[in-house]
Amino acid sequence: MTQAERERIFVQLFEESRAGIRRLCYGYLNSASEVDDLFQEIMTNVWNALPSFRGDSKITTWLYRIAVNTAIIHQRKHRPAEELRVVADDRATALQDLEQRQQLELLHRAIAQLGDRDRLIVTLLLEGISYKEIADITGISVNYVGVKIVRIKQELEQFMMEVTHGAA
Amino acid sequence: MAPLEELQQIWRHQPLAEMDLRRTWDALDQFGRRQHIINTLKLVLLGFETWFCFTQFGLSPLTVCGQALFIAGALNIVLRDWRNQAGIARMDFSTPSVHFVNRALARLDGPNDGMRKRLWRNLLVVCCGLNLIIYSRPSASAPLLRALIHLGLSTMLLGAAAVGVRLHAQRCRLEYRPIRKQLLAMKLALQEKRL
Repeated sequence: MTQAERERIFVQLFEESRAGIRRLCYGYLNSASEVDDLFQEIMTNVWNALPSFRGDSKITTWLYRIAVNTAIIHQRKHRPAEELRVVADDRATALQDLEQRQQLELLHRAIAQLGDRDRLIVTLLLEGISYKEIADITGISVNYVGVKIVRIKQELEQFMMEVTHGAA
Repeated sequence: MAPLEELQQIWRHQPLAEMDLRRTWDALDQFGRRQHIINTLKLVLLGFETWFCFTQFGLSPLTVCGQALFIAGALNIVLRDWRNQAGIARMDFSTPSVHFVNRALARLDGPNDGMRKRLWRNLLVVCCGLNLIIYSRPSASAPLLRALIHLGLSTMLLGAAAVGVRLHAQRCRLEYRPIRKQLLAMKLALQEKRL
């Protein structure tokens, strides 16, 4: 792979996938500054791994593998996992639809209750990635991805019900 | 709870702060640069030491032998260290997470003892080299004083290395502990029911 080709593919991947990768970072982490750090780490690893991409899998699957693995090894230096909480990105423009905004906040809070691996799986699911691809990304079987997703959905549903009923 | 499709819509349409490509290029430029500079400085120092040795101690066979040992030991330490750092930077992040986590744990746990053994072996070579260089210099001092100088220098060198290794190990333990803990938890979670 020539340098020019590497740069071209990288720019294309960056433009096409930055939103999805940043959402994955938001699903996994809890602060805007950390999201930036993790995103940069992911893109650095993508750049380094690009010459070894052989096209065995879809490039998005390959990209999400790197993103997930980087997220796994990303060190939360100042905060233990129990303190995870939801933060919205203050720098972004507000959602026009208030109801949607509330639902999104609730979804973020529900995701934050999950364990590290489940947060990654659910963010991949919310990105519309198939069970097969999630299995390819994580290295677990498709059946187990299915089992996990059923459990995660139940947990999310229970949390959202509790919050909604508590608020009512 | 809203159906999955609806949640996916909300999720995908959430507002996000923009991240431009320029910042990413800057981050790529910075990547690994500091460590390369430190390692290059070590090599420059070694070059300076060689120049100093030959200008101050001459080119007698003993000095040349001593300097050769010194360079071999020191170069081995620096280059191995450099290779290890490059290895960590080259970890294959594109493998499925189960394999990735196993390899990352092996990398964190594995090389410490072997590296330490090699490090001490190389330090002993450096120490022998240094003693040969000092010995090659003609001196009118009493043999006992010369022996004490050799002993003192060796003790200083190995003592400083022991302190350095201990500090390095302590720093690694502190830095790696959270990552290791996280990786172990992830490994257990991923393999909990691998069908």
